[in-house]
Amino acid sequence: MNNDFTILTGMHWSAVLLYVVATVGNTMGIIFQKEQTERLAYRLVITGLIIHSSALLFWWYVVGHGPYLARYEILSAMAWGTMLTFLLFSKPFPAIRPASLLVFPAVVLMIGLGIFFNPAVKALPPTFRGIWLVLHVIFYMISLATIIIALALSLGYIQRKRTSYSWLARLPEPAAMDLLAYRFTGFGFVFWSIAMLTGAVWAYQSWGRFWGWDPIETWSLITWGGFAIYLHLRRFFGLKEEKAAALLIICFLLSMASLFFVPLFDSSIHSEYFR
Amino acid sequence: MRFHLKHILTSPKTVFALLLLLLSSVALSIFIPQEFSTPPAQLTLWQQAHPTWLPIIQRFDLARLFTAPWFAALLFIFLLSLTITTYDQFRHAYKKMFSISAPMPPPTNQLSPTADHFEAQISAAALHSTLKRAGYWKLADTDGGNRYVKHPWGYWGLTLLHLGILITIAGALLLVATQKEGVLRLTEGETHTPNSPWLYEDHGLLAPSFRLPAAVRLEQFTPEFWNKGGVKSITSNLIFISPNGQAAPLTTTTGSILQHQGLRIYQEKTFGNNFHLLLTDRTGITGELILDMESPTSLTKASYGNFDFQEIPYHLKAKSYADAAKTNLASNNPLLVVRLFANNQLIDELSLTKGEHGDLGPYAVKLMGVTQWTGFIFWEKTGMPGIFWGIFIFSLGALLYYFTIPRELYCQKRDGGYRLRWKCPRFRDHYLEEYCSVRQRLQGLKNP
Repeated sequence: MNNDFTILTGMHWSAVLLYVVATVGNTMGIIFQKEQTERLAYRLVITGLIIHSSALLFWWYVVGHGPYLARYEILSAMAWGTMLTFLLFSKPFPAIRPASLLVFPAVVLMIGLGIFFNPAVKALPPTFRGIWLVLHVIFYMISLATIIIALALSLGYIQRKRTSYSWLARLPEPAAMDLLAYRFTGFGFVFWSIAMLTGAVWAYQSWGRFWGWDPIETWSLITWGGFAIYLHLRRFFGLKEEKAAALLIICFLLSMASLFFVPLFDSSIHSEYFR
Repeated sequence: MRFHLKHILTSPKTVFALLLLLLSSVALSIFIPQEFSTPPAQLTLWQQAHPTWLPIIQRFDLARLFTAPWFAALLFIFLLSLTITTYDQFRHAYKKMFSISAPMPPPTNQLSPTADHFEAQISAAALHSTLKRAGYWKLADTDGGNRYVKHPWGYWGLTLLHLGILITIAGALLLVATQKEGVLRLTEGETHTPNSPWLYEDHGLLAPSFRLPAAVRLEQFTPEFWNKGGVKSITSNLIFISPNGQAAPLTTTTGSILQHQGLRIYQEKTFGNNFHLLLTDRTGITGELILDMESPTSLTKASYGNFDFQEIPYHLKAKSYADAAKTNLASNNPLLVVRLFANNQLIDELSLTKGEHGDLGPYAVKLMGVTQWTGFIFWEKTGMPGIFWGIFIFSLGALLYYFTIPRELYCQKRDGGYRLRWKCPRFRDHYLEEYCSVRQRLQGLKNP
C-alpha cells in the first residue's frame, strides 16, 4: 500500500508541477500578449490533466471506489473537474480564456490542499454506492467549475472597472465579461440543480427519502436559492455590472461553504464525505 | 380585481420577496434545532441555553418550521404565483412556437456586420437550404414570407423550469400530507405484530396512524465488512406473516429498496447487540438487565453506552468490542466491559464474554447471552414520482433556457429576394458571430 501512496503522490506532484509552470506561462502570455507562451501553457495543462486523470483512475483502482469520500480525493477530483470543464467550455466560448488567470491557480490550490491532507484509504459506507452517487458528485464538480469561471469573469470585470493596469485592456470588454459571468452562473445553476436531483435519487435509494433537511442538503438548497435570486435579479430587475459581480461573489462563498465547510462542522448523513 | 391580484402575485418583486422569505426560513432551520431531526434531550439543552429565544420560537413554531402554518401559507402563495407564471409562460412559448406568422421586418439599409436587418438576393429554395444547413427550422410559411428559428425548443425552457418547480412542490406537499413512516429495531427471532408499538412513527396530516398489514419477523441478518473495517452491507431475512397465517420470506439489503404489499422497506445500516446480564445481589435476589449497544465496525474500536436501570441504584457505563479475540469482526463473540458508578465514582469494572461471570461491586454478574438487532424503515408514500419528475422537468427547462437560445430569422419576400431580420432574445452578443456567418452565406459572400 505504501508503494501505491508513493506512485499516487508522485503522479499528483507531476501534474501540479505542470499546472504551476502552465499557470506562470499562461499569466505571462496574457499580460505580455505572448500568444505562443499562452499556447504552450495550454499544452502543458493538457499534459498535466492526462497525468492527473491517470492518478485519479489509479486511486480508484487501489481503493475500489470513486474519488468522493476522503478530503484528499475530493479536492483532487474537484480540481480535475474544474480544469476539464474549463478546457471544454473554452472551445465554444473562447472569450472565457482569460478566466484561466483564476481557474489555473484555483486548480493548483485544490490539489495542493488535497496533498496536504495526505491520502488515506477510506472504506465505503454501505449507503455510498450506486450510479446516482457518481452522477451526484460529477454534476457538483461541473457546477463548481462553471461557478469558478463566472467568478473569474466577475472579478475581471471589477478589475477592469476599478483599476487602470494596461494589461487589463487585453481582457474582453467589461460588458462582454459581465454577460459571460451571467451565462456561466446560469450553467452553474443548471448543473447544481441536476446535482441536487441526482442526490435526491441517491438518497431515496439509500435512506428511503429524497430529502431530509440534512445540514449539507439545507446549505445546498440555500446556495441554489442564492443563485436563483442572482439570476432572477439579472433577468427581471436589470441587475448587472459591479452589483451583479458582488452578488455572485456572495453566491460563490455560499457554494464553498456547502461543498467544503459544512461537512467539517455539522453532523450529517453525508458525514463520511470530506472527513 | 382579478387582473390586479394576478399582477401582484406574478410581479418580479413578489416572486423575489417570496424567494427571499422561503430561503430565509430554510436558513433559520440551520440555527434553530428542528424537532424532527434533533434528539429530545439535545433540543431541551439548546432551549435551556437560549431562554430569550424561546417565546419567539414557540410563538412562530420555529422548532417545527417546515410544518408551521405560516410556512405552509408562504408555500401556498408561492405555488399560486408559480401556477399563474407557468400558465403565462406556456402561452408565451406556444405563441412563439406555433402562432407567430412571419412579420414584416422594418425597412432598413444598415449593412454593418452586426446589424439585425439585411437584404439578400436569394431564391426561396436556396434560402431554405442555407438556413436548414445552419440549423434553422421553418416555423411559419406565409405568402409574404417565412419565419425560421434555430433551437426553437429553447422557447419552452422557462415553461418547463417553472412547471418543474410546481410539480416538485406539489409532489412534496402530497407526500408530506399522506406519507406513513415507521422505524423498527428487530432482534433476530423477534416478531413485530401490527399492534406492536414502533420505535418511531410518523404520519402525514391527512393519513391515519401507521399499522403494518401483517406481522413481520426477523429470521437473521448478516453484516459484511470491508477488509480494513467498516460495514460494507447488511442483508436481512424477513418473514411477513399475514393474518391468515401465510408466510412470505423476503430479503432486504442496505442500499436497495424492497417493495411488498404497497410498503417500501429499507434496511438501515445500523446494527448492534443486546447483552443479557444476570445480576445477583448479596441477598440472593436476581434480575436481568439488557444492555443495548451498537456494534463496533472495527476490530480495534469499541462502542459505548450509558445505562440507568430502576433495578439497581448505580450508573453503568459499558463498552463492547466486536470480537474478544480481535481477529474476526463477524465472530459473534463480542467482549463486554462494564463499569459500575455511584455518584460519579468508579466502584468496579468487569470484562465478560458469552457465558462468563464475575463480581461487579455488590453484584455477581453473568453474561447470559448476546442477541443481535438491526433496524428497518417502513414507508407508505405517495408523491415520490411527482418529486423526481418535477426536478427532472425543472433541470430540463434550465438546460433548455441557458444552453439552447432561440435565434429567429424573419424573412420578407421582395423583388426576387428577401429582406431579413435577425433576433436573439437572450445573450445576443454571444451569437453575433454566428449571425454574421449566416448573413454572409445568404448574401452569397464567403465565410471569413
